[in-house]
Amino acid sequence: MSKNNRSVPEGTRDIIFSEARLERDISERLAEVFEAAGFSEIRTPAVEYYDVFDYPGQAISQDEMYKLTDSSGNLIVMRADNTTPVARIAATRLQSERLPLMIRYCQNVWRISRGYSGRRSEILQSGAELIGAGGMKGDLICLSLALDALRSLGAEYKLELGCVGYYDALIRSLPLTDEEKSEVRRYVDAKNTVKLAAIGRKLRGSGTAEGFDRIRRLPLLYGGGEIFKEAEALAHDNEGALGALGYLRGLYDALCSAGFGDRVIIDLGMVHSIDYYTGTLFAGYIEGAGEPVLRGGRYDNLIDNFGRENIPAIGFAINVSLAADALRSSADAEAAPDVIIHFGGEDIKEALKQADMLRRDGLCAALSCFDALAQTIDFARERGIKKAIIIENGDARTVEVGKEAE
Amino acid sequence: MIRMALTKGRIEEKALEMLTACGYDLSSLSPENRGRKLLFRAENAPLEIVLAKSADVITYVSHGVCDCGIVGEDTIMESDGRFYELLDLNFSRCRFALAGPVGKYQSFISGYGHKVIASKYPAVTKSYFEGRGFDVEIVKIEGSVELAPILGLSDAIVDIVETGSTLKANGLEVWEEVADVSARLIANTVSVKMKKSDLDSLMSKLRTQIK
Repeated sequence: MSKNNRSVPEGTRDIIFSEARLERDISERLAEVFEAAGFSEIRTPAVEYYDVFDYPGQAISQDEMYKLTDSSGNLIVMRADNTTPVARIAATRLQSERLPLMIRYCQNVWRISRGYSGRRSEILQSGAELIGAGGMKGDLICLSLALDALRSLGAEYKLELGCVGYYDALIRSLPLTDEEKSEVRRYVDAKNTVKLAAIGRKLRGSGTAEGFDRIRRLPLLYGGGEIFKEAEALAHDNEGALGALGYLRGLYDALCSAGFGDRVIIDLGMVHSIDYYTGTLFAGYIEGAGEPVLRGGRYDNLIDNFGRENIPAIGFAINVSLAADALRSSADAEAAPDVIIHFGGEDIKEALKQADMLRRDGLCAALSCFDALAQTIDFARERGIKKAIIIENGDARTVEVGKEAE
Repeated sequence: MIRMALTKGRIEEKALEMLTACGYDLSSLSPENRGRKLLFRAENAPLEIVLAKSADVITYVSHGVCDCGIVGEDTIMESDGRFYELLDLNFSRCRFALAGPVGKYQSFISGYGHKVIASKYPAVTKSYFEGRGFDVEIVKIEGSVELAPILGLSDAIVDIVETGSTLKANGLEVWEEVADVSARLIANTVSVKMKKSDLDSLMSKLRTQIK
């Protein structure tokens, strides 16, 4: 077997200089947005017991998790998702805190990606969770925070709302098996009108046909506020669906009246994680990213799994790694220091004094590791450092790199 | 601007006919103009065309470097990227079939012996047999799959069948229909939302040309 000591595992990468700076900039901007809104940071272990992530409708499936064993032979996994550990903490160490809890985090998740797909398996997520606040107010607080977070990224953005209840009410009234339902859901989520049409043809003549025709419309129910009218007509005799739709419309109208009208869109065919989410769900898009950079929703049942019942919660995470990929421009080179300080070994005190002065003025000052002045200048020229301070026998003089020969 | 990935070869020909009939001026793609380029612009509309191999169309669209693509359902069934499948363009129609030696079908499905299926499409084959509750071993073959049962490597094959003449010439016959396939319009999940009006207009033009 060849030795893998010169590369990194599939889906991971070294994040170097300007790349690391960009990820840090984005994380810091998001942290500011969250902290300014009253959300406080938590950090959780990089590894958790597998059992933490193993619950009905689990967010991440077992085959996507990196698994290890601890010293007692227990199965542990690399943190596969951030919301689940937050829910665990809400039910345990924070169980006697006054609700609502306003929690933010900025840490990695690890998910095994398919070989050679170009997807990352190590993803930096920055997110916020509002725990113990149900209903429309909690939704609006979380959605407006999501909009602020998207805006802070500095690219063209949209926030998309969906809900579990509308689809759920429409599909529940159909006599399909669980297997058929999960197939239908997959096709609705992929906007696969072709496959849905094929199922529709199979059902033709049965009592289910008319109900299924409504499901077939769902993938096309996305866009602005204009879709509510069609969605209402489609579900005119289904109280459950109308109720869910009315609620979503309330959220949409409230966000519009708050000035977000041109930023918010609707997709009633967004049904991917409806075993996990219980109400409002949403996704955020920015230009340049081929996948949603933000995902979130209401998960009122999750905390039950950890023994604390009836705690409504809503939250979202921004994929910082993906946002950084989208925002990175090829021109982004790591900035060179402003000044390099060349000094003889006996002048270290003066060199540090000079550096300190420059740094206090907000400049980036690097000390030269070279003994020969020519080497320092050569290095500065190659790195694009414009200015050099040369200290000889306690005296400092400044030269412009490139003009020092004249 | 919409960037579309087109599957090179037969799908490309028909798709270009269709897009031209929609009113897009794609003369830069005509054989005399194209040279060795792989990226083209419509002369009269904000549409860019990329020529790619079928599986790569899906990769480019999933990653969002192309907003949409035209690719065969056979490739879609074999892949697992995330994208929206929006239209059946109803050309390049053929079918996936389970085929085997003439007259051996009964013994294939009734026997409990170990069964081997050769295919260029292992994912399609796996999900088909899983759906039927049938446990088979799948061997991936790259070229003429018909050889596998002749040489005794497999009991049957799962492959694209158009006329059936290749099967017949090799003593094979269609046993079961697995799926109908044709060319599809797929789109990136973010592009559909961020470029809704552009994609909507492309789709409504394409709809008028579906036969």
